[in-house]
This record gives sequence, C-alpha cells and structure tokens, in this order.
Amino acid sequence: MKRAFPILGVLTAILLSYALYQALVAAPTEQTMGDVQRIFYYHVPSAWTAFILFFVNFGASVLYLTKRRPAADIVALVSAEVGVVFCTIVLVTGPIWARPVWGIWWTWDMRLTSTLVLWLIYVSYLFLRRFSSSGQTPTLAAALAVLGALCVPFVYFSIWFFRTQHPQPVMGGGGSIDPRMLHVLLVNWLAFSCFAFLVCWSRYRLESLQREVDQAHALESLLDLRGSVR
Amino acid sequence: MPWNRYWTFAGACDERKRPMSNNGYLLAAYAATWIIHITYLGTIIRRYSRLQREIEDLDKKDLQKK
Repeated sequence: MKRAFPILGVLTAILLSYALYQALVAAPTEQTMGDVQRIFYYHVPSAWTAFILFFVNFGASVLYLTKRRPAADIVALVSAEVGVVFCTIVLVTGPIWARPVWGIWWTWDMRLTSTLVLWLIYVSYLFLRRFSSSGQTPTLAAALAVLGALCVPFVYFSIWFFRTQHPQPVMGGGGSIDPRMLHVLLVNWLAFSCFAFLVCWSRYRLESLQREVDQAHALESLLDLRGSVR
Repeated sequence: MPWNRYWTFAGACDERKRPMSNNGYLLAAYAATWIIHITYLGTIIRRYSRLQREIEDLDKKDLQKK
C-alpha cells in the first residue's frame, strides 16, 4: 500500500496536467462568454467532488452511529474536511465567473445561498470536531453530518425547483453542451476525483497516526500518575 | 427562450477562436483553486511534521525510562 501512494501521486499529477491542458487549450471557446467560460472546468468538477465527499461523510457517519467503528469516524472527518476544501473552491470560482458574465459577484438566489449554507454546516462540523473535547464529540458530529447531508440534494436540485440566476445543470436538466466540452469536463472531474482520493488517503493516515500518538500520551500520563501515587 | 441570456454554462462552441477575453478572471479562478489546494496540502504536511516530532519525543521518553 505504501508503494502504491507515490505511483498514484505521479499518475494523478499527470492526469491533472492533462486536464489543465484540455481545459485551457483543447476545449473549444464558448460562443457567448468566451474564455471566461473555461472556469466551468474547475467549478463544476469541484462541486461534484464536494458532493461525493459529503455523501461519503454521510455514509461513514451513519456507520459510526450504528456500529461505533473508529475507522468510520476517521473517514467521516477526512471526507468532510476535503469536501469543505472543494466546496470553498466552488464558492470562490463561482463569483469570479459571475462577475464578468452576470455583472455581479454574488446574488442571494437559491442555488448560491444553499451552497453557502451547506458550506457553513460542514465548517461548523469541523469546528465541532476541532474544539470540542467531550467523549461524545464523534456522536454529535455524526448526527450533525446526517443533518448536513440532507442539504446536499436540496442544493443539487434547487435549480430544478426554483427560478434561479444560476445556469441549468450540464446533464439531464435541459441544458445542452458541446460533446468536446463534455469530454474536457469529465477529464477534469476524473483528475479532481483522483486528487481528492489521494488527499483523503494521506489525511486518513495522518489522523490514524494522530490518534495512536494521543493514546500513547494518555497512557504515559496514566503511568506517571500511578507512579506518583505509589 | 430562457429568461436569463447566460442560462447555460456551456452551450455551443465558437469555431472562429475569438481573441482571449476576460483572461484575468480565468487566471484568478484557476490560481485561486490551486492556492486553496496547496494551502490545504501545506497544513497536512505541517501537521505531519509536528506529529513526527511528538513521536520522537515519546521515543526519547521511553528510552530514558528504560
């Protein structure tokens, strides 16, 4: 497994470089917006990756609540953390695209607002994990994650249910896309998914190691205490 | 006809290869993406090196006790 990580890292780096080339050079220029539309190749895959990571967080949280497996708790924490990173990218690149196209950075429409609320829910989740030292923290966080996951389908389908400023979905929502643009979009999504997987993997190893060290510290303190009592 | 003329992210493509437009925004979006990713990777590396130091300290304490 240790040898697989650098190999996958190199392959992901190559894939990310290829995806960047596809997005900036190979993809055709959009008729109305021009080159600024190429932001779409980073914005949409980041959103999809964030949704998948929040879904993983939901599955792991349910598993933790039902089976109390520490590994599920670590997976939940890691997926939420990396998901927040990708969701931050969505919230940053969206307004950068909107400024030249809509003429405004932000509008309080349903898709944008619900995405911001989703981001705030998962940031709250991470704050809870970071600053609460109670033994019940993983359980409380898992419950919050289950509630947060309910927001994900709402964000995704908000452009179906509400009249929003946000563009229509790329696939299955009546929007049309040039097949070459779709290819570039999927290549970028694959690249970002591989990157997210690798980051989650390294973060999982780090969190497992951190917990082992914390246990060792606790054991050491206990032994010191016993020695001083004697 | 959609009420918003910029309704779709990506519609038809322009074969005439128009001159680059709004490149500053494009560059800003791509740069912001990688700055966020690299900053996050930086925090992981920092946490990992702090953990390595903690493990070394624990090992030293173990040796002293023995």
